[in-house]
Amino acid sequence: MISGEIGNVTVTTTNNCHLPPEHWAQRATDRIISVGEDALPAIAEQARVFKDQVYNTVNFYIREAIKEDRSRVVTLLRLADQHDLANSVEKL
Amino acid sequence: MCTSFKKELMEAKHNFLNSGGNTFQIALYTDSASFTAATTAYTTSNEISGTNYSAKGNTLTRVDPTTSSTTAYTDFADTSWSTATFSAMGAMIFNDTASGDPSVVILDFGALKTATAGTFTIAFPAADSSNAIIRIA
Repeated sequence: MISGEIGNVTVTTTNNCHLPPEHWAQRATDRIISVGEDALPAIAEQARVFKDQVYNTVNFYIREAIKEDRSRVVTLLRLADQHDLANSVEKL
Repeated sequence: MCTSFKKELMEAKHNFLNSGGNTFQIALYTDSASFTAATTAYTTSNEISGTNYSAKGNTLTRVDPTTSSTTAYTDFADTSWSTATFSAMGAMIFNDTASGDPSVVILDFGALKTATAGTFTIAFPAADSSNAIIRIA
């Protein structure tokens, strides 16, 4: 017998703000590492520790990427003589 | 899971491969939509509208189908709408490549979800034999 099943999606919304880097770091980590419910306790614990390390690494580099992209925007604005706007973006 | 989708799988109408697969869209719907397993295709009826939402919704990034034990499953990357203002009660994943935009699955969010000048994101479950979004066991 063959049967088809559907998984449950999770919907996250924000009002007048955006999802922080921590959200995306958690999502990325969850996609990379899934700790099985039936895993042996010792292995599950090791996996959770490793998952925390992955989360911290992903979170760090997401923030670095944001800074890099913001720096690019500031540079482009300065090149276009939009100094006030560049200063505003720089302060974000 | 749409019954028509199960039949169409046997007719090779859907290809979920990351490379060279079909284009799958996720469209959002209001709480007035009433889909069942008998739903067969994408419809604009009761599809939401709002800031930064376009008809047919977002294109999904496919993940190659795989197997674990006796279960086959496939997955999609999370999808989101930025600077969005709209509400949705559910969604439909459908095949935008196949003729007639055949539906694949209907998703019920369980409650009306609203984003206001913010982000509306849909996270797909873990890609494993117990949780993946589309599984055949």
